[in-house]
Amino acid sequence: MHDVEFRAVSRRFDDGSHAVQGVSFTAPGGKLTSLLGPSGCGKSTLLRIAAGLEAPTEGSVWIGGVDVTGLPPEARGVSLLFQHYALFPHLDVLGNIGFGLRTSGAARAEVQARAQAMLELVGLQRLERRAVSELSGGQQQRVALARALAVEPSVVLLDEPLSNLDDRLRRSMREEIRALQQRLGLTVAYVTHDETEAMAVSDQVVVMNEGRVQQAGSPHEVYDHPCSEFVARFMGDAAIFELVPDAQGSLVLGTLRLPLTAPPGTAGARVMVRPEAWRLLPVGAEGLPGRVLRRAYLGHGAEYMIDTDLGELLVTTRHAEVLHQPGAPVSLALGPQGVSLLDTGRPPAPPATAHGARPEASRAASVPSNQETFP
Amino acid sequence: MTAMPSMRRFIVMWIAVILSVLTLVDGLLAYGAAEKGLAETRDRALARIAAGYLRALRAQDADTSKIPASVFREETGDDDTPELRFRVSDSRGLLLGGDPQLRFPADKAVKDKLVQAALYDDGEPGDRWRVAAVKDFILTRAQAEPVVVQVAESHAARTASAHLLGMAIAGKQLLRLGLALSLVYAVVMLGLRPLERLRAELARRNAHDLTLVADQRPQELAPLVASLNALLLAQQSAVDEQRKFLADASHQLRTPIAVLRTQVQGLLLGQTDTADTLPKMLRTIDRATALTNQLLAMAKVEQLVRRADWAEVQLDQVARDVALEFAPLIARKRLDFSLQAGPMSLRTDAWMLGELVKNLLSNAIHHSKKGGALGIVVRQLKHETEMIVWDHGGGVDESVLGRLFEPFNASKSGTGIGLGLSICRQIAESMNASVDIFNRIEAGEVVGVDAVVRWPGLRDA
Repeated sequence: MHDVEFRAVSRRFDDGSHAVQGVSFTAPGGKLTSLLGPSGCGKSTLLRIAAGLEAPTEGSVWIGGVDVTGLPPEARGVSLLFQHYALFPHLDVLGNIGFGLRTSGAARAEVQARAQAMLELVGLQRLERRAVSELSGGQQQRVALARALAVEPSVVLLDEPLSNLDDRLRRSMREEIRALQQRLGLTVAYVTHDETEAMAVSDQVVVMNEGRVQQAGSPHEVYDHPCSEFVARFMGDAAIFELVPDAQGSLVLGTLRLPLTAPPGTAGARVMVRPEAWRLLPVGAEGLPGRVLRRAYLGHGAEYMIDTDLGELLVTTRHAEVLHQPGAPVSLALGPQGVSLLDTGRPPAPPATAHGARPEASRAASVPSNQETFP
Repeated sequence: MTAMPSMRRFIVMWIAVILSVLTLVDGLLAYGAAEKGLAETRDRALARIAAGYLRALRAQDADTSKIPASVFREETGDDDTPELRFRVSDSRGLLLGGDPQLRFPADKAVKDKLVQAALYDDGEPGDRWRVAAVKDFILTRAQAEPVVVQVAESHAARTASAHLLGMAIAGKQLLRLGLALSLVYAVVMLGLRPLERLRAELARRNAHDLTLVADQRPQELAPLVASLNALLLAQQSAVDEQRKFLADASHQLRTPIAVLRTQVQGLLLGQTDTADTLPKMLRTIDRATALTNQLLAMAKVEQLVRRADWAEVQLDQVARDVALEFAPLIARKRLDFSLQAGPMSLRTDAWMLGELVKNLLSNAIHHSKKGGALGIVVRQLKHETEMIVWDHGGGVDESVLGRLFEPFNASKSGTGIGLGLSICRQIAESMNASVDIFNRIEAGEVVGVDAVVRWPGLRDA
C-alpha cells in the first residue's frame, strides 16, 4: 500500500501556459483518492504524470516513499486504466487480461492462472474465450480493470473509467471498483468530473480548477465545508449569501440569525447553504417566509423552488408523500448540515493527511452539530 | 342625462368649418392676385392709350376716338371702355387741348419719367384718378415741339371693376365649397353606415337579450364589438351564476323550513317527543338564521364595494378583535390558538375586513378537532403581505380545492352553509387581494389547511 505524493508538481506548455501548477497533495496508500474538476483543469495530466506518461516541468512524484519522477512507466508499479479501455481487438478476454503478464516475462501457466483469478475477481468467468468486441460496455470495462489489476500494481490510476457507461451501469461499476479497491487494499487515484461519483467512492477528494488544487479533503468536508465559492458550486447546488452582523455580532441571513462567527480578520462573510440544509416548515413556525413557486417529485424526495426575500431558493426534502402546492406559504429554517462560511482564509489546499482529517479552520466555521434549527 | 353630441354632426361640422376657412383664404388670395392683375392691365392700357394719342398727334390724325376702345379690348378683352380724361400740354404745362381739369404733372419725379410714360395718382380724396402721361416731340410749324399727353381713369371706375371681379371669384368659390361639402357629407354618411347599423341593431334589442353581436364588422369597429361580446359573455355568465345562486339559496332556505314544518307537524300530531324535537328545531332555526345572515352579508359586501368608501384599517387589530370575539368558541373546543401579527395597515372597510377574518377563522375552528391547534399569521414578504389562517383540521381533498369558493359548494360535502369562502373571495377581490386554500403539510403529511389572503405590495404600518 504505497502513498502517491505530488510535491509542487507543475507541467508547463511551450507557450508558457500551465496544465498543472504547483500541485502538492498525497493520495494515501490503500485509499481511493478522486481528482475532481471541470474539463481542462489538469486532473488527467496529473494522472499521466503519476503514470510516467508525461514528465513534470517542475516538482516531483513520490510513490511508496521513492522519487519516481525520472523512472519509466513500467518501473513505477503503476497501472493506468483509460477512459476508452484500450483493449486489443485481436485478443479474446483471457488474452487481453494476460497481456501485461506475458510482456513482463511471466511463465505461461502463471499467466493463465493469474488471468483466470482476475476473471473471477471481476465476475467474467464464463466469457474468457469471448472476443472483446462481443462484450457490453460494462463487461469491456471489467476486462480492462482485470487487465490493470493482473500485473499486481502498487497503484492503480483510473482516468474517467466510467464516462462511457450509462447511469445505471456507472453506479454498479463504481460500487464494484470501490469494493475491489477495499478488498485488495489498493491505492487508487480516480479522475472524474462527476462530483456524485467522486463522493460515492472516495476516501479523499481533490478538487482542481485551472491547474491548481482548490481543496483536498474527505467527501464530507469538501461538500459541507468548501473553502471557496468555486468548490461550493462545483460540489453541488449551493446558494451563496453575503452576511451582515447584527448589533449583537451574530450573522444574520434575512430573518434568520446564524450561530456562526466569522474568523477574525475576515473582511465580510459569505455563507453557503445546500438545498438539503433548508427545512420546509408550515407557516407559524419561525423562519424565513416564503412561497412555493415550483415543485418536482423525485421519487426519493422532492425539490422545490421557494420565493423568499433572499431570492428564489432551491430546497430539497426527503418527504415526498404529499407535495406542497405551488403558491402555498411556507417557512424556511436551516438544519445543522450543509451551512458553512466561505472565504474564511483557510489555505486552498490543506496539508493532506492519511485519513482526510478535517482542518481546524473548517470546524470553526461549521454549524455546531447539536444545533437542530436556527431560530 | 346630458345628450351626447352626434359624431356625424361633429365630423361634418368640422370638415365644413375647415373647408370654409380654406375657401375664404383661397378666395381672398385669388381676389388679391386678380385685383393686382386688373390694376396692372388698366395701367398698361392707360399708357398705351397715351402713347396712341401721341402717335396720332404726330401723324396729325384727327380721329383719336377709337383708340381707347381698341386698346381696352386688347388688354382686358372687355368691350366696355371706362370714362377717360385727356389733356395735351406743352412742356411747360400750357394746355394745348383736352380737359383743363386734368392737372399738368407737378411732381418732378413724374416729370423725369415722362419720356417712358409715367403712371401716377392724382386728384382729391373722393375723386382720385389714375393718370398715364407721356412726353414726346411733334412737328409743328416746321419745328419740333415737346408735348405732354395725359390720359386719366377714375379710381371709382377701377373699384367698380374690382368689385365685379370679386363677385365673380366669390361666386366660383361658393360653388366649389358647396360641391365639396355635399361630397363630404355623402362620404361621411356612407362611412358611418356600419356604425349606424350597429346602433340600430343594439337599439332593437331588449334588456334581457344577451346573444352575441355579429362580429363581421369593419376593422375599426371589430375591437368594440369584441369588447361588447366579452361583456355580454361576462354578463351572461354573471346572470347564470346569479340564477344558480338564487336556485341554490332558495333550496337552502326551503330545506330548513320544510324540516321545521315536519318537526312542528310531528309535535302537533304527537308523533314525536317534545323534549327530543325542540333542540332539533332550534338547530334547524340556527341553520336558517346562519344562512340568512350570510346572504345579508353578501348583499352588504356588494353595497360597500359599490360605495368604495375606504379608510385605513389595521389588519393586526382586526385579527386580534376577531380572535377575542371567537375566544369562547376556541375555549369550548379547547383549541391552542396563536396570533402572530405585526402592525399592518390596509385601505378597506373595517366591517368587510372583519367579515373576511371571521369567515376564515370560523372555518378553521369548525374544522379543528378538539384540543387541536390553529392560528393567524400576518407576515410581510418582499412583494406582498400575507394573512394565513391555519388549522390542524385534517386538510381538504386536492380534487375539491378548486371548487371551495363556489357558493354552496362546501354545503354539499360538509356541514357548513357554503357561502363563507364565497364572501371571502368577494371581499378579497374588492381589496385587489387574493384568497386561496392550501393543504398544510408537516413532515410530508397533510395536517390541516392554510387559508391565505395576499395583498400585493403592502408595507407594514
